Amino acid sequence: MTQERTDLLVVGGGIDALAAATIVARAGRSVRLICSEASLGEIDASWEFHPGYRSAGLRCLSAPRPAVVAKLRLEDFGYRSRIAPTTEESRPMSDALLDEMAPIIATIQEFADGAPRELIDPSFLELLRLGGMLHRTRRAIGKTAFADALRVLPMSIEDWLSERFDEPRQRAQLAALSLFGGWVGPLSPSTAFLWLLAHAGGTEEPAGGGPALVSALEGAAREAGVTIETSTTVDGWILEQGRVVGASTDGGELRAKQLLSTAHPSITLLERLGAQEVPAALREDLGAYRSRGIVAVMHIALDCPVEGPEQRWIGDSPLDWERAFDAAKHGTIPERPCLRLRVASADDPSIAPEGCSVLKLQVFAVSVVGPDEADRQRETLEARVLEQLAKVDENWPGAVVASELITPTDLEHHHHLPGGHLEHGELALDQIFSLRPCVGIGNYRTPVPGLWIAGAGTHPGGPFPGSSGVLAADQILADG
Amino acid sequence: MAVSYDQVIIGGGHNGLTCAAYLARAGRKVLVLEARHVLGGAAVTEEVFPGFKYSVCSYVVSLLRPEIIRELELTRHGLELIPLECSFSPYPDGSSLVRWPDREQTRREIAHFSPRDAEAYPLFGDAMIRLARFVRPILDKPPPDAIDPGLGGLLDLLKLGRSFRRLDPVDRLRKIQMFTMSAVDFLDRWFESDALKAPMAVSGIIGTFLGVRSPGTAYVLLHHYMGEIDGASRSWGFARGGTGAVSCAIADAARSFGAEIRTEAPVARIDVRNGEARSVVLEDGSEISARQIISAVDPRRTFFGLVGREHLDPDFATSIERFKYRGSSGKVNLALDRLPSFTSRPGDGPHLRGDIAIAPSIDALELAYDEAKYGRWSSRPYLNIVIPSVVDPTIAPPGKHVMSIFVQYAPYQLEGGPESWPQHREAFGDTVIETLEEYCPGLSDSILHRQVLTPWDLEQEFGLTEGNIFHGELSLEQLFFLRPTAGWANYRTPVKNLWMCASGTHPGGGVMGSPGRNAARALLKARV
Amino acid sequence: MDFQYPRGGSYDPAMPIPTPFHDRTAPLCTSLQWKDWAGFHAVCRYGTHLEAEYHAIRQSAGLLDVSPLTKIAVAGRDAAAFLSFVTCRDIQRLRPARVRYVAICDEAGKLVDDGTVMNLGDGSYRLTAASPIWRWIDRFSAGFDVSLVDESDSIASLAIQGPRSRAILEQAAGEKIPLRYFQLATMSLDGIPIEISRTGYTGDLGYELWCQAEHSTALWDRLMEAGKPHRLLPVGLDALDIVRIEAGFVLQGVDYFSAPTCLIESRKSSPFEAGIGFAVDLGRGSFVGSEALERENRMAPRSKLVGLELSLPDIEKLHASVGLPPVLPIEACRTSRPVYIRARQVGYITSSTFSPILKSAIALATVEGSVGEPGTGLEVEFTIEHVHHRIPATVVERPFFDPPRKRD
Repeated sequence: MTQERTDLLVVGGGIDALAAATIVARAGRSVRLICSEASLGEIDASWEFHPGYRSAGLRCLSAPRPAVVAKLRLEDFGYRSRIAPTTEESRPMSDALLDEMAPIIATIQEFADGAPRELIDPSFLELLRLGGMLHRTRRAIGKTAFADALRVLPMSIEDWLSERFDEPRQRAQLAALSLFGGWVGPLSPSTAFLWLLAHAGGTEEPAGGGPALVSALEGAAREAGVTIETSTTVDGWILEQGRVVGASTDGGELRAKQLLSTAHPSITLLERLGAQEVPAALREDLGAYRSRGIVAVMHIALDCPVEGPEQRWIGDSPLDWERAFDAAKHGTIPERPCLRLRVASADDPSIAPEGCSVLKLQVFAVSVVGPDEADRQRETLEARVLEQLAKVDENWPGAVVASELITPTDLEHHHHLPGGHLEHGELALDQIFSLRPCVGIGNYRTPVPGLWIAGAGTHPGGPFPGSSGVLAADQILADG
Repeated sequence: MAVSYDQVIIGGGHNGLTCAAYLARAGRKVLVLEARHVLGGAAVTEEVFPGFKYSVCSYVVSLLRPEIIRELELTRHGLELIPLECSFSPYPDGSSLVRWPDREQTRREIAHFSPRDAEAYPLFGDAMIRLARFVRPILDKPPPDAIDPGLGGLLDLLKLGRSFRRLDPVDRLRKIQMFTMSAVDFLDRWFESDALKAPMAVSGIIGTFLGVRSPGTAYVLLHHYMGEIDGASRSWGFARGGTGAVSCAIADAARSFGAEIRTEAPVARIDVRNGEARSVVLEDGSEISARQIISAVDPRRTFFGLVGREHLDPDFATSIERFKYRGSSGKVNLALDRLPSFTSRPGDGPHLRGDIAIAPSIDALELAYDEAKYGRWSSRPYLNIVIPSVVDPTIAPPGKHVMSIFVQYAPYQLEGGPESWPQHREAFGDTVIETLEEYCPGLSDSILHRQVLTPWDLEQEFGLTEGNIFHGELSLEQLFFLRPTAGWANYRTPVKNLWMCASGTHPGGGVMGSPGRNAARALLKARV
Repeated sequence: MDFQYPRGGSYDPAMPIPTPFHDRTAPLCTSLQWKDWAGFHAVCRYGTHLEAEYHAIRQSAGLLDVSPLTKIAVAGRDAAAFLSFVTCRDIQRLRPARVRYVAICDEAGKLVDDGTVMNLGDGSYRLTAASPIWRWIDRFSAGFDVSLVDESDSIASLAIQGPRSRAILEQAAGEKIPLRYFQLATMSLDGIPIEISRTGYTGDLGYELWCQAEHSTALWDRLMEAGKPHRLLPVGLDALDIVRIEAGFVLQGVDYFSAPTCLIESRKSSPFEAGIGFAVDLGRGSFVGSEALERENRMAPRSKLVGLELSLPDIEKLHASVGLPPVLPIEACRTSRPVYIRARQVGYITSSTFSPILKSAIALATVEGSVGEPGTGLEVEFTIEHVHHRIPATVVERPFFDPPRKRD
């Protein structure tokens, strides 16, 4: 293995890893990035799931925050954004709500843009800043609206929407977006907050989805001089005198002055470290960090074109979504899974042959099961999803050429996601921003010298791709 | 126009009576008007079956404020509180868990299910006591208005902030987590056995239409420990003579200070002119005027029933409309020929001198909640049971017993609509008895009389809108400075001279007496 | 539901349960004075007169049922490393057949428990402690190849303490038992497999015996039989309280409080503050609490646990002033009494007693670090006929009573 002294070893091939590597490399440090897959992108990568048909990544990403795009100069590397497709039916209602809640959403975005704030043990100065922010918001929107906003935060999305919209179908369409990050159904308290959080990602998304964003980031990283090595599996971190000095991989030892890991926090801090290196309290907190994934992703290759809206929600009433959540909650397969349906080939026609299409579905709700049940679950689920699709367009089931269903169980076993959650952990009021994944890992610094952590399982958490990586990079550089 | 009073209080529930007592004690001329023939609202004892006194609705005195007991000299007026000795949880497989006041005995009990949990349990209790200490002062004062605090409010907020900061950072995080996590998730951090977690998780969900896995339900775990820190007063318990004895003692105290209390005096409306409340009009047409009118009924009844929408600012009316009730519970009261015998601990014993929880597992509790979401009562409901006659011989003939069963979930919004409840009342009662009989066979043979109260009955008979026992859901968006709505959480209302003093205001429901006391003190402080 | 004694027979879970020796101790406890020790019935005193039991320990020998102690079997490749991590002592340097007194702290360096670790010689260890500790140490076991089994109920233990204890043991075993202080042996006593450690809570010559619960009565009988000519007496916890104060030993829940149970921060103590700083091995790498303890060690102590000797002449004078003979009860006292320097309170007594063998009034007290030096003169509150007075007291070294036979 090379003897050169790497300043920063980034372990992870996803969006945050690439973003962090790029920023640090541009500041003149020597950066090496390794990942276990053959290509970059992790769950946001595109792969050929059937000859001629490519997937569009597993997540439905929002566009990175403007500050992130600017800082990484992503547009120089081919990144473009587009208006995210919405359901026309719910647009006006959605817009009205967004207008009303704009200051709250702006506050959430402000939190996401800045370094993690100390929420548990704030200094007096930090308390003043926090108070000032709240005061400004109150001044901006007035007392009544402010009170209403505070009132809304702990509510369930169904309760909140019922105050304004009588039609269950309307409410289902509006509510659905809030359900894909947590372990919740529409009747669960705090889903109103999750709705606001989901919308804080903005109205835009990367043109070409996750894969396109990854591609732009790869360009930026290479241009900055990051050495990228794929297909490198990490066993653990190398410690000397209590300090992380590198990673041991299947290709040997890789040493560096600092190490940044963007894996799930349990992997970074529990799996790859000895138990005595992490204080017991932190270990317990990490053990209590909830990562129950309930979203499965299905890509379907159709040999016909698809008319109609690019995005659809399939689930007629809030109770349908609640029933689906109940099934997952009890470890069974929903009779009528609810779906977020995207015509992925409309965004990027190159992923399907001429005249054909790729549908990308996020399926709600699916629980993790044991390895012996995984196949049966997948089969039953696929059949039920196709039944749901048939209700949208009866031609579709006949046009299916191939499909690939990735369940939370698959995510756990094949994609290094303990719990099977696409966002490295549930989005919840006590697992967001600087509370993510737990107290004691503030500012991306771990208790182990030399080891940094970033990624979806850290601040800010939510629809802010790349923010964690950029903020972590800032901290690493500030550290000297 | 009849004699005029300083204050007229609509509703003779325990909060209305408390409010009256404090006002009368301060020298005001107070009149309480109660619609029913008996005082107490939902804190009431009635001899529904001859010889047997039922605590018809509320069956445990929870957190009755020690200050109220002292300041109104309730013991002198006949209140005797008998502490709840233990918590008994029988399980379907014949095992059972009892949590005793003695730490060591409880440790032994829990150790049968999990030695780890046995060690963790007292530590959990200590951690909860530290947090409850932080919350306790909040109960006894009007909430600071976080929206528009004013100087006094700011000081209160600062004090709150300071006491929050005095908590250990670990405790601070726990405090935040309590308001965001579910009861089960929170308990999972400490305990591993279902046998312990299930009864703990559910004891706080009482009266709320949420499941033990719903986010935000962890904070109700504090409830039990709030009683611990009331210390010597030991506020969790039975009132001798049934829960109605609490209301009677308060009424007695009120009368001793000169308050006038009338029963069978239902109020039809509040007369409002030019935005000012001037008098109350009874159903018999008589009118009584007062300087202030205080409502001890819930917000919906107050504003839409008694005041009338036309007198309300539209925004305020909307906000009261949004105040949620959603009754989720029912009650079954039984007169028994003999003491029930539980398979897991047969016969008489100290385990029957506390509360008995039928909460077989977390999954079962969650299933019970799930069923209710879709408009059905739980086929195997959660039951919280007490047999007060075991410690209080005055409420049943010798050798016979009264059993009070609180049932969850029974949704007000039944599939066929709330008004269909009467048709299902007996079937609902049967479900309850069947469920319980699995744990104490022979129960049904010993039943001399059965009274079943559905959410509909709670609404019709006791004036509890949608059968919600707390005058409104105790969910975060309707608590503290948001109860009943932002800007009006300090017992006043937008209608001049109209005040509120019951569970629809801070700190909420339960037999605490705090809303009544806080309202009286706020009114006295306002010097109106 | 069936609640079973470790050796069979069911019981009521709502009550304390008998120890394995109950069949022997119960008939002897004619005073009917028991207490609840960790959920077990434990004898306070057998007869109504405590002095006899006290003097048995100091003059001949006393037999104590100490089965309610927490005992945890620690085995596995990393047993020593684990114990070195979770306690404050370097157990990796504990040789086979040796015992060491340990402090157990939390990550902030505050005491959780105190006890002993025995190296049983076969690669396994036994941790004993005052209160249940299994879950606590289990939290730190991840990553160690170690098994932890709570043997508290299945292992019975007796303490035989006093100048004749060795003779009695050797008579019962029929062989010499050349155990050194804090040494351990595994042997068979009259066919009963036991471990013997030369340890105890009395500060005297003494031994603790550990056996499987089913052999408990046989062991008791054998010892009582062998002890009869030597004036062996069964002794309860009240007498033990007096001798342990003479020995200067702290008691959890009295002289210090287990940190996780403390409602307020000021109740917690570090081992240095609780007077057991000697049970902490620093400078050997990281263990639970090491960072905080290293830091504290570099600073002047905030408070110290010290021994106090109260001025008996002043006590006698006070008694004389009201016309009472100067008789002090022979009984340990756990009432907290303030300790002063001039007008200022500088600490408090946690345990106190009149020591018959030393003929002095002694106490364990927690005082400000700056006044904890031996020889410092302080004042202690003393009440006679309902009136508070202050009498002089001097800080002295612990133990108060330290006979050479303890270590011979």
